[in-house]
Amino acid sequence: MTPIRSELALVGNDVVDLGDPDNRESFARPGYVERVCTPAERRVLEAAEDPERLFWCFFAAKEAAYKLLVKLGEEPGLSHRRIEVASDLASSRYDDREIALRVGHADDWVHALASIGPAEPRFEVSELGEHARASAAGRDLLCRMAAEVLGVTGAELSVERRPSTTSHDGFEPPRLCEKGVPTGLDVSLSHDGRYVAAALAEAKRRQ
Amino acid sequence: MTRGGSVPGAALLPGLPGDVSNLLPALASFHVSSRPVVGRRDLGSPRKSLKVNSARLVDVVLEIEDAFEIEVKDEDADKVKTIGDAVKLILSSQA
Repeated sequence: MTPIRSELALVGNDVVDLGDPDNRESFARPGYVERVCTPAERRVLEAAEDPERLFWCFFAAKEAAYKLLVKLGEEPGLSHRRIEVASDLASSRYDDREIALRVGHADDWVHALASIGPAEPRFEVSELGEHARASAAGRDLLCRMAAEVLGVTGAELSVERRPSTTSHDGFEPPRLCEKGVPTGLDVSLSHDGRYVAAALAEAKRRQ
Repeated sequence: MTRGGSVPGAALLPGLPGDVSNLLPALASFHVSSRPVVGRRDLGSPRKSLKVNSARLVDVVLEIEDAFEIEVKDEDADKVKTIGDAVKLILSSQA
């Protein structure tokens, strides 16, 4: 990495609802694990006490790394196997890039955070309210976290996603704005089933 | 995401080669937006058009492999950014 790159702090995060029936069905589907995991990862799964939980840890880690790689200008595409997660879940590798990971889990969810840079990223996983919309809940969570960091009110913050013709979901990564102006925070949003997650990192201030 | 839904706009297939008309049944078990998945010029990005997350997109790839009896290689999957790309991939795999 160049010195300029080392000044950047970037994050990607992903949450998976372990109780989501669709996730459970996917894990059981023939060929699904093979489509997502490398041979080395599958060997780790075969020896695992709880292979389903560990599989979703791998999956979330790959998704978190994917979101970060896009911010670095990479195009990992739809191939999960191009991102290999270490057996200790502490890092992932994409070609010659190594990305630090932090993977955590509770009874019903797993969460992965991928990050680079000097800043200590923050993240939070929250359960959706009964009638809450996931995308709005994720944005609210992120704005609340960012307001604390920036010393402003959440009402002054907004999350923007500009359309993109090259990304798989049709949008660029989210940007956090204060009164319409992009902040210095890099942010990431995720939701799955009953859970939303947000992560942010503040770029190291230049001297 | 709900499985077992129908495909809104399934009858709208202008411009889609007949060989890939099975794409719709292959995707029929996945929740899609109220707009037609196909029949639009842009044939937008898979995740946006299908309103599926990445975990379900893996299911979509497997459905396509089963429906068309093809193998989607990682490097080919990398290139699929739109539904139109998926159609091209299917056609080239069948050629």
